[in-house]
Amino acid sequence: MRIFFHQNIAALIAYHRNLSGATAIEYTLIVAGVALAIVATVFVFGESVLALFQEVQAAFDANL
Amino acid sequence: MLFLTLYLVCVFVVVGTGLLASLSDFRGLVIPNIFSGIVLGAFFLCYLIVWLGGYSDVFAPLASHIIAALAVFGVTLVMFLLKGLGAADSKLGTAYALWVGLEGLLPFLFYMALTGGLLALAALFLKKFKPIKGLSGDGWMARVQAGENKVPYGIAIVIGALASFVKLGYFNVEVLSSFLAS
Repeated sequence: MRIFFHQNIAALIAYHRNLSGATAIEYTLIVAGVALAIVATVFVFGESVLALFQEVQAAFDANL
Repeated sequence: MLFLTLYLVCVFVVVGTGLLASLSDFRGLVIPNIFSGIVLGAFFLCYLIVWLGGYSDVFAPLASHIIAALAVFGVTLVMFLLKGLGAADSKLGTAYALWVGLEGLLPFLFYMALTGGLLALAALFLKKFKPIKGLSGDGWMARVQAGENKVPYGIAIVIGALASFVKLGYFNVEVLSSFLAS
């Protein structure tokens, strides 16, 4: 338990002292790819999913 | 008028600090803690000013801002421990997440990711073709051309945050004039 505690404190001190503003190229490319994929998905499927939900809602309204 | 002036001072300080942090990241892949500290402190000051003036529609509830900051802090801390991300990027990102809140988090992360992707493509280009002759020192371009695998993500964070500020209307004429209305 005590060792665990010390390790965390050491990690936080390292975090505080680290002034690096550099990020690995791979990370930034993955993040950009995920962001573009999400936007593309919403753009392509967004309206049809919305229509599907509206259909389901209309079916509920008609039958209840 | 007093509240408008104080609000504008806070916003301009945060924009200016962001530009300085970007420049520092570009020149040496380093962002001093004081920049993130100023952005963080300016938010609480600005929130207090807006709250004292009774302009409740400028910011979301405080919890929204704090949850957004904690979320970004948690995720980026893990990325730092996995050695992919500089701690200064994590700190600066957390500070700007506090400003945008949950409402502005998606545009912030989206524009940040996009700018970061462009910087990564530029880094790959520089690394491969080494187009700029006679570069030396600690600058990002020199280090990438020397073979390092780095992107100054502070620039992406600041651009993402500013885009989110615009979306949230922090610079909107209506928001600014609402300070003068009462």
